[in-house]
Amino acid sequence: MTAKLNCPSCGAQVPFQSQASVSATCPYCRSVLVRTDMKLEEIGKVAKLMDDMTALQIGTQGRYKGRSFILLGRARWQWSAGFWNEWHLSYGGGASGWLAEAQGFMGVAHFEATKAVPAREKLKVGDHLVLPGGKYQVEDMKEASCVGTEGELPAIIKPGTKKRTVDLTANLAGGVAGFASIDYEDDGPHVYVGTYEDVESLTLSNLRQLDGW
Amino acid sequence: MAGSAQAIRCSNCGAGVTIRAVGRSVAATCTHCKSILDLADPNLAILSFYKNAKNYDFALPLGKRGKLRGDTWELIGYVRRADTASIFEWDEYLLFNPLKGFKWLMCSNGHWTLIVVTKQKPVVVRAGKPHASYLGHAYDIFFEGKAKVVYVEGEFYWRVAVGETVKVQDFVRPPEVLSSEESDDEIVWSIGDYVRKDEIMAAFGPKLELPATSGVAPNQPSAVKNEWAKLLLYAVGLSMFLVIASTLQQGMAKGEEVFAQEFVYGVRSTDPSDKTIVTPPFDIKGGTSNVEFDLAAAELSNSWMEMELTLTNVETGEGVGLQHGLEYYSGVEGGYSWSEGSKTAEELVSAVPDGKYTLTIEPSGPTPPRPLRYLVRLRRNVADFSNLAWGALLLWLFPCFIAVRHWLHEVNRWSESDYSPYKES
Repeated sequence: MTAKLNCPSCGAQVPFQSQASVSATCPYCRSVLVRTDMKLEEIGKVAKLMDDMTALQIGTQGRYKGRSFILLGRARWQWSAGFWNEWHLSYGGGASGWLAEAQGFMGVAHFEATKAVPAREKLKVGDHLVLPGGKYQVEDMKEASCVGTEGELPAIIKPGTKKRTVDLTANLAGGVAGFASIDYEDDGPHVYVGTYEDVESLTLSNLRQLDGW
Repeated sequence: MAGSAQAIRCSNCGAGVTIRAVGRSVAATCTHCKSILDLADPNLAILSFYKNAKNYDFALPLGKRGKLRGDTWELIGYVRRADTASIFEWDEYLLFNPLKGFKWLMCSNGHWTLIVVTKQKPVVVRAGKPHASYLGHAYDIFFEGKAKVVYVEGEFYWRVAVGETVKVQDFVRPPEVLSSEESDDEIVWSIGDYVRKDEIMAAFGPKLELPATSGVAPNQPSAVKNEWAKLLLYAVGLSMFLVIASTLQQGMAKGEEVFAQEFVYGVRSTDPSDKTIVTPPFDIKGGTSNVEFDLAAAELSNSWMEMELTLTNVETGEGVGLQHGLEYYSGVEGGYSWSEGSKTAEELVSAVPDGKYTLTIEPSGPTPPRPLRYLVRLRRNVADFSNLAWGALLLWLFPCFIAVRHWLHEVNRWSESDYSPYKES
C-alpha cells in the first residue's frame, strides 16, 4: 500500500510505496526526507542528480529468480576510480534488495543477517571468504561517498554519506557469477549477497528512453 | 532531454569535447590537444598531457553506432596497445550501450574479436601444459607477456594512461579467447569471440577501409573445422554403406566354374602350329558378370612360361584377351632356402556376357626339361572388392584434403605462440 506523506519543506506529496523505505528524496524540492512514524523529517538537500547514461529509472520493472520487482529509488556513489549506482529494488510487501550498476555490470544482492565477516582491515583483494551461498573472492575495496539520491530508499542515505565497501565475486553452480558486497558501517558490517545478472535474464521493462537509443 | 551526450570544455586548450557515456566515463581525451581529462573531477583536472608526436590512424570512427551480434553499440574509445618491446601493436575499441554496458572490439593483424569482461573467474592450471578452465571448458595457453598503452583517444570508464602496462595471459579455444590482465591491484578476466570482417562492415559501415587480414589469429576458427566434422561423418557413413553393399553383393557371387582343363607344355615344342590350343566351345551363362582366369603350373621350377589367352564368343566373334606369365625360382644359399615368383596367377576380366565361348591358349617360354603340366580354369561371377577399394579411395580423397588444410591452419595459428604443440620446444 502506498503511503502518501507531505514534504515538510515544500508541502508536495511524497509517495512511499515500500514498507522497507526509510528515506526518500522529494521529487520537487529535492529535500532528503526520513520517515519517522507517520511524519517526514528533512535531513538535507540534494542537488539535481547529475545526468548519467543509464537505461534504468524509477519505475523500471523486471524479474529476479522468478520474483517481480520495481525500482523505487537510487543512490549514486563516487569513489576514487569513478561512479556507480545502487538502485532500491522492491518486490512489494516490504521485501527489497539492491541492484548495483557499475562499469556495465548489474548485480542484484539482498541483505543477509550475518556479522561473521573479517574486519575490513584484515581483507585484501584476492582473499577468499565463505558467505551464505558460496565461497567468495574479494574483487575490490572502495571508499565511497554518496553524490546524489532520488526516490525512496531502504536506508538513510544522503549526499555526503560515506561508506567503506568490499565487493566480492564467486563462481556459483551453473556458470552463475555470484556477487556480494560488504558495507562496513558504524554499527558493523552489513552483508549483501546475490548474483551478477545479464540484462536479458532480468527481463527489464519500462526502461528510460535515451536520446537516439 | 534525458540521456543526451554532453559537451564539456577542455581544461587545457578550451576546445569542446563531446562526452557520450555521460556519468559512466571517468576519463576522456580532448579531441583537439589530446590531453586526458578527469571526468570524475568537477574541475575536469588534466590527468596527462599529450606527449607523443606520432599520429595514429584507426579504422573505426569514434561516435559511430552499429548493430553487432544483436545489440547496438557506440564506439566511444580507442586504445593502441603494444607488447613491451613495441614490436607488435594492436587496436582496441571500447563499445558502449546504456543498457548492456561495455564491450571491446580488438583488431590484431586485421582479425577482429569481440570481448567482454567476465565476473566468473577462470581457474588457471599450471601442472603440465598450462591451461585455463572456464565454465567447464579447457582453454589452451597461447601467450604470456606484457601489454602497454601507447595511444588513446575518446572516453573510458577508468583513468586511462599512456604507458600503463599490464601482465597479459591469453588462452584459446577457437573461436574464443580467454584473457587475463593483471595490474598491481586487480586481475581482470575477459572472454572474446572471433568476429568475421564482414560482420564488422555490416555493423559499422560497408565503406570502411579495414586493415588487411594476415596470418591466422589465435582464436580464428578453422574455416574447415565444422565441415570437417560433417565430412568425416558422411565419409564414415558412406564407407560403411559401401562395405555393407559390396559385402552383400559379393556374398551372392558364387564363383561358378565354367571351364577347367589341364594342358601340357613342351611336348611338341618343335612344331609351332601345335603351340596354339583352341578348346571346344563351352557355355557361360547366368547373366553378364566378371570372369576370373586361374592359371597354375605346380611343377614350374627355375623357369618361366607365358600365356596369351583369348576368350572368344563363337556367336558374335567378340573376344577378350589377356597375357599372363608365371615364373618361379628357388634355391638354397648360405643355408637358407629362397624362392621368388609364383606358380599360380589370377586375372579378372569384367563384364563378360552370356554365350558360347572358346578359349585360345598360346603358351610360350623356354622348353622345359620335362613336359610341364598346367591348369587353366575359368570361373564366372567371382567376388571382387576392387570397386570397393576404388570407391573408398575416392570417398576419402576430399576429407583427407580438408584434414590437411585444417592441420595447416592449426600450424599457422600456433606459429606466433611459445606454446605451439607443433613446434619442438
